[in-house]
Amino acid sequence: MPDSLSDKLKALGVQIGARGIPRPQSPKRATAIESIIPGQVVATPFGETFVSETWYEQSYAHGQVQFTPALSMGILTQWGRVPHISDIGFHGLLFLDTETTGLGGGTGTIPFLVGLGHLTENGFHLVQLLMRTPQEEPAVLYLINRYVSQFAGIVTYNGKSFDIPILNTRHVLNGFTNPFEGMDHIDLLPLARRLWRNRLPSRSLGNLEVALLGVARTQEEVPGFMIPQIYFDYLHDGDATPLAGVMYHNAMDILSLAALFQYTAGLLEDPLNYTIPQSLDIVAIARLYEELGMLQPAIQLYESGLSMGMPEPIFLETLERYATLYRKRGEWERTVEIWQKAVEHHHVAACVELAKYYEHQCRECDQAMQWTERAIGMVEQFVSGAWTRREMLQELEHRRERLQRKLENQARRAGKAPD
Amino acid sequence: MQHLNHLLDIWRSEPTVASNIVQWFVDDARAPLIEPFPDDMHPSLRAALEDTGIPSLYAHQADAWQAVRAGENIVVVTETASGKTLCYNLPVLQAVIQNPRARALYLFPTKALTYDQQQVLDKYSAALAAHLPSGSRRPAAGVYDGDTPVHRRSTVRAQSNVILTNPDMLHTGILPHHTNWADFLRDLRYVVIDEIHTYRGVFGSHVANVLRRLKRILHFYGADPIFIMTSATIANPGEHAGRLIEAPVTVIQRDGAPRGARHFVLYNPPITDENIGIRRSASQESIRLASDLLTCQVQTIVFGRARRSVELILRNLKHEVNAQAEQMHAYRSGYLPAERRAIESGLRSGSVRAVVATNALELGIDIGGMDAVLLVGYPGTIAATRQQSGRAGRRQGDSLAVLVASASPLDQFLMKHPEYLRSRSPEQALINPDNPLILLHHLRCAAFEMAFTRGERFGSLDAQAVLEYLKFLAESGELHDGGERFFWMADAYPAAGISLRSTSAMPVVLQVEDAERLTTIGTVDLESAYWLVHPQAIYLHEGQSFEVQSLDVENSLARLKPLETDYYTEPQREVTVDRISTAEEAAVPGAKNAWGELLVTTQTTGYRRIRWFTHETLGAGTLDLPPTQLRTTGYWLSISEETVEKLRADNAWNSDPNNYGPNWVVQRIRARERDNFTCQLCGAPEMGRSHHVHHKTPFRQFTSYLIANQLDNLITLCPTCHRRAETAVRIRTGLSGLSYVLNHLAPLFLMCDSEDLGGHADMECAFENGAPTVILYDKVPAGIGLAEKLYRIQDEVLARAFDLVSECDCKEGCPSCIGPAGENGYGGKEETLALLAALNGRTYTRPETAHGGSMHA
Repeated sequence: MPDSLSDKLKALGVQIGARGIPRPQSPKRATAIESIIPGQVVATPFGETFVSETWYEQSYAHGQVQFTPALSMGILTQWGRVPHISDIGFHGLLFLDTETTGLGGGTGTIPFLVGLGHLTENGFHLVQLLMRTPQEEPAVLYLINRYVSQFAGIVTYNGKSFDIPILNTRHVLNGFTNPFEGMDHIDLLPLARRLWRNRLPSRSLGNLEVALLGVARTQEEVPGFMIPQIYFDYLHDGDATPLAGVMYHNAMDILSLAALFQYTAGLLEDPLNYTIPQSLDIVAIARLYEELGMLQPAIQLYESGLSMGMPEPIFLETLERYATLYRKRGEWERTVEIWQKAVEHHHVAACVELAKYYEHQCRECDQAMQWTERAIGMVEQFVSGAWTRREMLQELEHRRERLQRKLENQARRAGKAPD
Repeated sequence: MQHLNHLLDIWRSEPTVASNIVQWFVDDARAPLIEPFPDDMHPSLRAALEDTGIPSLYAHQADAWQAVRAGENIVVVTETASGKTLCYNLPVLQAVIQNPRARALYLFPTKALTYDQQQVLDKYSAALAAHLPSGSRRPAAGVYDGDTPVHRRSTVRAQSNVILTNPDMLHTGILPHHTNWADFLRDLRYVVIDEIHTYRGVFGSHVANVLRRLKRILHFYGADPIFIMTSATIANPGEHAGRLIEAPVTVIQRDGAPRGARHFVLYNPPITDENIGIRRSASQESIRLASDLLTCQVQTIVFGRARRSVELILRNLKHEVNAQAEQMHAYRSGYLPAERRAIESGLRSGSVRAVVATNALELGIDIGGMDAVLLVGYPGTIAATRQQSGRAGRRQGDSLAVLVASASPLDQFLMKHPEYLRSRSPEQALINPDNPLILLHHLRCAAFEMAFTRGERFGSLDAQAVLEYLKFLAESGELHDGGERFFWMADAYPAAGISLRSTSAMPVVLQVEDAERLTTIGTVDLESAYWLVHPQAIYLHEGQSFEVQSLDVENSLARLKPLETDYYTEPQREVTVDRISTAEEAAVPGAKNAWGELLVTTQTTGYRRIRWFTHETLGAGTLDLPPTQLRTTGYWLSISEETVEKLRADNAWNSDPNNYGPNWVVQRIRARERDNFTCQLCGAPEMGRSHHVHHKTPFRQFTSYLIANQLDNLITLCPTCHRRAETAVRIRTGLSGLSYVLNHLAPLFLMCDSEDLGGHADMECAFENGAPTVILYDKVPAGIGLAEKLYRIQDEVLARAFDLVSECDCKEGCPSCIGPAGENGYGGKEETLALLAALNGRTYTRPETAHGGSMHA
């Protein structure tokens, strides 16, 4: 065959490189990592890799957060189903975040930078393990294993579905035993989603650190989506300069993760006093308390939250939950009060609940009828969505007919009674 | 069964049926070939089999057991419903009994088959539970495919001894996440691949590479499982299985299953027009036969070829046999699993009397034996014919299978040569795992799954070849060349980018604009898009017709709009073929044949609008579409100068320029005057150059130039329209007749569709010094081995082509032999036969009654 494999594949229509753009032919002058990033090459039984260590003194404030070793985290660890961590404390936790060659996961994704941080008596200690080439992966995994075994648990942001599965895969592929298996793990992402779903436009760590922690990143920051390409370019041309931004990004992520951990732990312990209370946060925490079985504190939070005011739909949703909490406890009087309050805010569902209450609990059909008719009157005006309206009306008409029959039966019986 | 025999008697004596029956075979009932349970079979397994009503093994099951226990890979080639599944289930169950950690991976070509086999396994497992020591876990089987809910997946992985899935899921879902499967893969003892004859062509070449990837990953986990495969009857089961798994394979084919007597009937619908060879349609005839069967209370499956024809046949059948309309169903892809299950159990219980099915029902699904099966047209391969007709047949009692032929050349050939359906199959399942495009995709996937070590092989591909690909991928930026190892280094998931069932990575999406809404109705691959969905094309989908508004190739999008029309469109294509290299060539009688790499350039230049039913041309349009290029492998046959000379001397070579006679110059001007110097097809006026004048009925069909050149046989056409009109005529030369017949006959040997092969007749082939050449090329880029195989078996194919054309009942060529005769009735059949005779090294004398001068008086 006269032509090369490359010519042949091109003739068959294979495109070269991303969108057919050829990569630059002459690589830039290589710049070694050591000359860009403070750190050192560390030897392990599995080869060398590059390790950068940073100390943040006790006085360091990450945004508005200054790390406090004596942190109460009872409720946070209870939410994370690792209550015993609470006794071990902040020092026993390892904060972990990885930078990878892709966001898709699978066996082809390499965590080329692993950041590990923890709080010590002398401040916050950050270790970053960087693969200068993918061949250094075994050395990085070796160091991770050594390091991780010193801690009682790990804290991540989305680590349960991303960082840890990827690290697990790397351990299997390199024949290492997995240090994360069975280890306690608190992933703050699902908690953040719960607490700030309604209040904040995005629950990304980058957004939370601005909105909650008052952190501002410097010009060194590179956006996460660019990181795989920066690493590919570095592997290709040997210029480590842009990696500094990746190291900075990773360091900030870990510091923000630890700061968010402290912030959230504190907020959950004392929601009304930890910071300037936000009604939406308060009712989200109330709900979390409720699920953890802390009903009395939950009621208090609901009341405080509702009294602070919030957007109408969430207000009504909260009233409904709040009422349900009382109803489940059988405190009907208070339940009815809340429902009536919701009706004042034109909440049709509360009207329906009241109708149910009078029909089934009190067996007062005329009262039930009044609430049903009131609900029917409200649907047209206050319910949006034609389909929902029709469904609701059908159900209410059904209820009204049934009540009508009951009332007629009652009247008949009442009429007969004197005989 | 007396119902069936009663009906068969009626058919034998009813002339309108009997006269169409061209062959009637009866296979006598066969007793089972039984072997006792092997000594090394675990007593619990033996007891469980006895509980399910199995007191011994059939010969092939016992042979399979022995071979697998001896550590051999096997392929079991026995008939439909012969108990093939026990051949793999027994060794797997035994392994699990002996070691509850043992695992097996089952691959099925379809999802329906997967669920069916899970139930079979569950049945054995339940029977086994009673005989296992208390407290021990019974073998668990789990389906893991695209329908498995995500939250169930880790449980299925962790707890199933047997995972049932398909190659596509292995490719996209399992291998790229193999670390999640580490425990499963470490203990993998058996890989079962069912129905391997379906893994041929592009699909098979992909699957072979998926298996290379699987074996590579298994090597990493230290597992070395035995492969147990099954196949329908093909010519090369052992070779094919060996190419798929790239290891020695033992063929097991001592079929020991019993069966009742079987009738196999070949039915050729009657000819309605002798001149152009038109027959009654296979569907119509099948409906008639099926009505007879149902009226006589014979449970029947009718196999149609496409979804649409299935619904059509069902509708007519319900109309014919109204009383049983409620007991008839269609069965095809697109039905919900629950609907299918209901039909399957209805068939088993007998409450369903008739099913009209596509090949969705062909593979393995357990429906018990039917009384009768009707095949509406040859299903495309002998293996499918056997599998479908094998649906008829009970362990005892008579059964019937009828193949109702369509007009296609292969159907008609088989009507004359039923031995191909009966004795040793000529079909070769072909794959080419080293097709560069397919290989490149899988090397990317493999690199994603695990870094390549320098010097590593990939299946049978040697380290040097692998290295070339890896370097290419490193150069293109997808791999990092780390010296010793190559690492996947791209933010992409390569398995998601390639479907195992096609080579086209970017299909063109067909979108229909309704009121305010866009609906996607399907896709076509890019190569076919210019042809099928060019602007103004009429595209048919689910019985609805659409007109193509625009074709945006850059964004892989075609916009369609519903349009009820009384016409369809036929694209006009110009094909040129260039040779890149010759792999092998040899002199053969009358010609030279060769195979090698070709570059096929195709341009869709225009289209004709043709009225349904009458086939008259309503108009034409030109298109300005870019040419597409296909680099592939092809087989070609160049006719030698001596052969051409000889045929010409015999007046059997008719592509020479004509001398139109002394009055031509005058008649030509008169025709143009009459037609107002305007093209009568597209309406273009003459612009400084004379238009052409075309003979409606070709000149050479007349004995007198005076008659040929009469004005009513002449029409003025612009050069473009003339070329198109001549293209229609060219099919009728001997060379194009040869191209047509080879294109349609070769699939019988290559186990492919005639659509998989491109055919081109080049009167003056540039790369063969202007020799007339027939070229057949693989439509898959870089080819999947069809061309080379054709080169090797060309003597056989040419001999059968001669038979096919010479035995065809038509006079002047028809769709069943050398292609459809045009409106003018002249077909070039004699020329094709003369050429085929020369190529077969035999003499051919044209019959006395060759087309005479009286035809066109």
